[in-house]
Amino acid sequence: MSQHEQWQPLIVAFCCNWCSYAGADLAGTSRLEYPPSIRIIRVPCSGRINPQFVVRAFQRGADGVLVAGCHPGDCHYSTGNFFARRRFLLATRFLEYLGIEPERFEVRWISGSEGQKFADVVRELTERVRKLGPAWKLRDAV
Amino acid sequence: MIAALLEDKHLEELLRARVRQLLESGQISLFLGYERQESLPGILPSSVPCIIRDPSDVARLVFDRVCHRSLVKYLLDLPTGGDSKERRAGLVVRGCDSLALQRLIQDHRVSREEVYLLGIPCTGMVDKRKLSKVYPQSPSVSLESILDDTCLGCDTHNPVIYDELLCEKVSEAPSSVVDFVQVRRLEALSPDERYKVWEAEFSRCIRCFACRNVCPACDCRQCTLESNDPGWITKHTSISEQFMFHFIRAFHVAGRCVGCGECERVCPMGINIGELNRKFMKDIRELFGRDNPKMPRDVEPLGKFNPDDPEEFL
Repeated sequence: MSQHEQWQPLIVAFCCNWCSYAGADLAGTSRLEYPPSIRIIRVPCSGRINPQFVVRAFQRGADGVLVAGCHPGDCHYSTGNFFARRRFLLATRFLEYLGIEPERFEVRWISGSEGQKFADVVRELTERVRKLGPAWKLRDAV
Repeated sequence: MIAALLEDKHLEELLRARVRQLLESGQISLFLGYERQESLPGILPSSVPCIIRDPSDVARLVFDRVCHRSLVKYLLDLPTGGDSKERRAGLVVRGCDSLALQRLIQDHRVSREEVYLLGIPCTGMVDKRKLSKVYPQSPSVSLESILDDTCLGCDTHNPVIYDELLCEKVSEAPSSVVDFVQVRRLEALSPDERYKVWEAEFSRCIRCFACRNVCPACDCRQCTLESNDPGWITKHTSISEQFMFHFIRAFHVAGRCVGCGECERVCPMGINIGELNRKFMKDIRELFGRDNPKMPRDVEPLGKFNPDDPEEFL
């Protein structure tokens, strides 16, 4: 086994309380297997996720970041994810513009019944990040 | 000669006479304008902001092509409270200044009744860096060659709000800003190359906050950049912190930037901050359609949504 294969990426996921966190929960209770690379931070709504959170995650050691929320139209607060969608359409492009590999950052809508989708998204993101290797851009030099 | 390119004596006389009238009649209590900074022969001419309260001081007022600083942010530093008529301020507005002022009015930081606007259709300011290369001896220099880049791409020469115009409106030439040449050039690079470009830019940043202070879209009463809790940035100047600082600054003015280019002009380190703002401008136009910044009550693009916005996150 090469060193690269042993290395396990660290993925920080911001999941909305009502859909994506429940989706992650369902993946667990359904005994679906997905890589242990993920650290979930539960937030009230995808509209709560400030794009600065993403930069902060990269600063403090994340190799990849996932932002997940309810499908548009399903928001517990009616419109939070519509605002989040606009914000993250810009944020994904802006992070790429600053030189962050687009493969490291992903936004997905995952509902409370999509446990399988949650597991798939985490697996795909982990594999993509694993191919890129550890993130060093934006990293705090501490 | 360069001096003739920079000055407009006729406009200056008009301005002085009108400001004198306004001050004497009590319509305004003070006037925000520009005065000539003392300079030695051979040193670049420069105009700096000044406040005129006494009608006999109007002779100090100038208006030429080196009046770079936008005056509208000074309105936030004027005393508030009391009768708004008594503290009514007059100021000159060009196209970009009027968009900037509109931003402050939309954000309820300035009320329209508090200001009296002398509109000046503007055909561009001179870039000091370009001017310094040809000043003072200049047998044949075209105005075009020393104009500021932002002004060359300007699509709002005429003020969008004003109380009176001091001269005839000028024709709005098709803007070259829409081409986003620099942004496209950067987008064509690989992520690593882009990171290197921004690393080189941001590492020069001395965190003087001049770009924030001068920006009409940065008008919060409390700035997150000065907050210790949550402390998004510290006083470190590591490259990681520099990225965070510029990310926050650029994102906070996304969809609010009026494209005046003040942040680039004011930067002592010559960081091309404008390319961050223009990236947002370009993406917003491509994704959400073009907002009309000239509409007085248009909600900023990130403060609203459309259920049919592009869907990339399914």
